[in-house]
Amino acid sequence: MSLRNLPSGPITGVERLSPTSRMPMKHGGMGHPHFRERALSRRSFLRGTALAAGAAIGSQILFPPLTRALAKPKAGPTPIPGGIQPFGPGTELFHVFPPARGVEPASIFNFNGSVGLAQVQGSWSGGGVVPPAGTPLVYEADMRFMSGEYVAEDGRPRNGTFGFV
Amino acid sequence: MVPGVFDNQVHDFDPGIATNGLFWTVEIDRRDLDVHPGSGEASLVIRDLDLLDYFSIPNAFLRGPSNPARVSFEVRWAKGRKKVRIRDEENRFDVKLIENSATMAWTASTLGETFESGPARESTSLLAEVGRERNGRFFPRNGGCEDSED
Repeated sequence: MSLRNLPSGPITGVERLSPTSRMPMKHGGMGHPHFRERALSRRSFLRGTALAAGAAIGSQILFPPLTRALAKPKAGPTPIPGGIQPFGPGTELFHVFPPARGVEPASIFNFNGSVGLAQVQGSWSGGGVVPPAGTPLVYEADMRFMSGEYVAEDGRPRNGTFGFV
Repeated sequence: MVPGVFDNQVHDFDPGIATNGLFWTVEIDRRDLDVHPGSGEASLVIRDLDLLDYFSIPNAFLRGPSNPARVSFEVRWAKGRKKVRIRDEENRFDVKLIENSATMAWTASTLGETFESGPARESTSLLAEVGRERNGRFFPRNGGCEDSED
């Protein structure tokens, strides 16, 4: 969700990330590294990893096999193989397509379920921000959901609901 | 740099990019979502979701500095009529969508500051769609999605 302080007028198409004219895109063909965690906020992820590590260390002392199994984090979904390279060819591929008609809305691969996408714009206030006269405070949000079955990184079928924020 | 004008962006709330590349995606409670893919009507109502404030989209892409943030929002998709089909054999995804419109209202807080959007009715829908997708292992080889739509 992007909050902007615009000098004039609403956000135009020039400022939105267009997958067709503004960013190099790459479909498929790019492998993604295997990883065991589901997507969390970085803060939550770090905290979760630390807790899991702590539990694993403790488990080796107290209840070796059982607790170690319980401490193993649940495997999450994998990203779609395609995406964009906003920093140019040869740079990191980001597994997402900016909102536009005709592009894949999901960010999860091996997925079967309902999807929704909303690109919304509006005004905002707060944070003590007092813009100069004639300067609107505008936000733009790309909000999505995915709900259904998917194949997790461990290869197991799972069901889940995800928000793209 | 990421194309576009971001000089005037002051906050960017998202969950971050997972190490495996999963982009800005976070698991939520199924009860937060009400969806009817056949009509396009849906609502996504989430309270107190922990995110990060990356300040700008380029900084978020670069996994730059961030502050903890908490966001609540309501997104509502209206019923729609226009049906759209996107099928990509090469990349193995098949999507059946209803194009509609959406409204949104939200509140956010970070480092003791709070922000809020204008009323949902005053938001502008730039693009909205709801439907069903099958990709990867679920991609229908026979050329169609035969499942029910609602």
